[in-house]
Amino acid sequence: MFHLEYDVLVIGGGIAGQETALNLADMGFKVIMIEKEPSIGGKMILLSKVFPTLDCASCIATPKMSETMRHENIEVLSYSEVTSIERIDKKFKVKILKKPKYVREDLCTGCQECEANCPVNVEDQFNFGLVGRRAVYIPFSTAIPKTAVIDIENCILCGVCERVCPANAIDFTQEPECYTLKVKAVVLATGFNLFPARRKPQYGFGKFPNVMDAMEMDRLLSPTRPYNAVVRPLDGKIPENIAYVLCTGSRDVSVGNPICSQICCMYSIKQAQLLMGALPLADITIYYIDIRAFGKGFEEFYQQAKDMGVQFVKGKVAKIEEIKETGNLIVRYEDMEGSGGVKEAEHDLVVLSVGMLANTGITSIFKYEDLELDEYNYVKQADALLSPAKTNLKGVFAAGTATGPKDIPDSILSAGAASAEVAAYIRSLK
Amino acid sequence: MVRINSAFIEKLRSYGSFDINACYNCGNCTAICPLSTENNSFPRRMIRAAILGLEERIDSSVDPWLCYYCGECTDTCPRDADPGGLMMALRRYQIRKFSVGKIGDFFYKSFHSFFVWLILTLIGVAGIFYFKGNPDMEEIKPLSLFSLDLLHYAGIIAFVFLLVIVFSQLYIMLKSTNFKSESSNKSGNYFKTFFTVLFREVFFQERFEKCEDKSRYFAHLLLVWGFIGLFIATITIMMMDFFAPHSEGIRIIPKILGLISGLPALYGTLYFMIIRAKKKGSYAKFSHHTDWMFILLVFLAILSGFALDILRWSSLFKVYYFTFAFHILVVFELIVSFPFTKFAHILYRPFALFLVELRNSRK
Repeated sequence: MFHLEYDVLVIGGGIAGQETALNLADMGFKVIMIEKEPSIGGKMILLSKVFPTLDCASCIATPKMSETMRHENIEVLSYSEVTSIERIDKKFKVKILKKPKYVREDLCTGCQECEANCPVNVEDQFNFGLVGRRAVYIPFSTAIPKTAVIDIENCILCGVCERVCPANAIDFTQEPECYTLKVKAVVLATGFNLFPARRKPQYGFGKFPNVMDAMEMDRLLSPTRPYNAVVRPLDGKIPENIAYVLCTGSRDVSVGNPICSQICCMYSIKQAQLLMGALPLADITIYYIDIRAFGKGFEEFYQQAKDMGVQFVKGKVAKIEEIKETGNLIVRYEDMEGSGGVKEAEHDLVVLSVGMLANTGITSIFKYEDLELDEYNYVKQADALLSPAKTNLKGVFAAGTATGPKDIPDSILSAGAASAEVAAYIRSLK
Repeated sequence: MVRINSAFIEKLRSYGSFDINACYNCGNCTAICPLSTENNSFPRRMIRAAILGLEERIDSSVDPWLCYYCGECTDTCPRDADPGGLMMALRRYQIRKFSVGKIGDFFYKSFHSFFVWLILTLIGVAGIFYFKGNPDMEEIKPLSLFSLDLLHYAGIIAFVFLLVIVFSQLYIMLKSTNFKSESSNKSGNYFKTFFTVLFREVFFQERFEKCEDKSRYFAHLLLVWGFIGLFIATITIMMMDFFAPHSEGIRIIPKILGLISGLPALYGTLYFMIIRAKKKGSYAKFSHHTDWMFILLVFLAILSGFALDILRWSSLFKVYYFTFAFHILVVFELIVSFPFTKFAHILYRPFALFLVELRNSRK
């Protein structure tokens, strides 16, 4: 099925991983990409649009994903995890676990007949619980590979999918497969985790239905959105007065994450502009500590939102309470630039602009050596200024948000840097 | 014009633990505070003033006394700056600042003042025995150790002294708040406001109740009620001494009241001693020496009071008389030093609430 020797192992199939893999593959290197989810795409493919250009995220991400998948020098292993990496001379011995999808990828056509007949309903993790999915499912409509996967934990083993599959692709006899392969270099493109808003109990996420996180809102706004409308979760009402709470779980020592997410200002401004388009009558208020519009075109984007009528209120929201009868929410904040003093405002939907946390799963896979992390658990850059992709381990590089919070343009830039450094490294081995 | 004085924060540092320079002005502390309102918002205003070193703004503010230190601002502060700790420090700062003749300096400079105070007590006890020396050993008669007159004269002198001090300190506070100049021509209803504050905030501690931790509120309420009971009992006995010296039978009533009031007061003191020793919650994480000094004095006074009630029924005459002398002196010291120690909060807090109520009623 695939070779046992590659030039580069890319861990993570998000936008940074894809960019690195494509750059290296175009240079002629053989690349293997490992993605733990059943589809590559990472977080970007789930987004609505990107700031500050308001380009459609899937329109940028989907071609890149299919290019990655079809490239002759790239092998993609989805639903797989790297279990160990061991340095042997100038190469790495990599062990990979491929989880069973219980669907033969070579046969599945993505017709969704199985999905239509599966009797099980569970929360759809790619829509952040906004809607349900089946136990056998295609991750999302733009998934690559677009093949079904059986969520065996929730599957009731009724066998309906097996009977209805026109391609005979369902195979319950699949077992986890382990592979061992050799690579010359490793790229960590493991991305980040969104801050779980439940860890900020003052905001009532998970307790009050109309408090959602920004990723859920991005789903509601995206072209592949679940309801084809922006509605609030409690009663399906079209919200008229939406609040954004910036810095939820970032720049906050009390939750153990003192650094700036670098994205929550801008994605909130982006969503505010999109909401202005989707719900022309809605009032949108953004509660902020500081607006950090630092990138190219960001300040203009911020001013544009202001001109469109988005309200910006300086003051961190301290707590959110629910009005039982209406499900509306009261946000409490100090109105610093206005008349001053504590204020309470009522909104019918509150969006928490959650920050980024490091994806820490990667550290334990290195055998006999330790990958150095920085104080916030991101991969430490050995020389952040001169060779930003280098880690403390020779031959191991990092791209994208693995090394720290980044927006999409910066992730792609860092992937470019990583691919150049990897190429130079591999050439130097000869 | 105000001048920025960055050294001021260093001056405040000795009054508490906080890292207020870490503040990035998000307003979380003010918004999370259950007591902060649109008209009276704190603690961020105080934080700004402290960082900028606006000493006058701090001296003139009653905000520190509106805070009961529930610790929510400290627990949720995104910069770990400990705003609650700053408010507590400002209360200590104001007690020292407003004290007449800088007597507060003696107590606030170092913990040694507590030992000086205790040693003075012991010297006082020894002195009483040395000069008086022959208490009745056949039967316990407290007044064979002290003459009633001495007690009463000391009481009257202390009362007059405190009256002068209390009113001068309240006047100092009133003057520094610029209350007169900022208030409008409409005069508020002084009496109504006074009694509202007295009932709501002193007797029922309504603002304190808004804090999350109800056990702390309850312990403090018990302590307050215990103190009120003990105060009434003492005054009643003194009055009886003056006006009805031979009413032996009736005296049992204030004595029982004193005994009953001692129990909640003892519970309250023990509660605060335990949470401070255990450093339970952000409120008790840092204890200034004046906190301990106040609590320990109250504890010693109540404990020796109870010991007297027990020893009365024993035959340990010497122990009884020693404890009696100790009790009287500790209580005397507690009362005499009250305007200059943490105890002074019973003065400033209701007064600050009174001023705020008055200001709000005029609006």
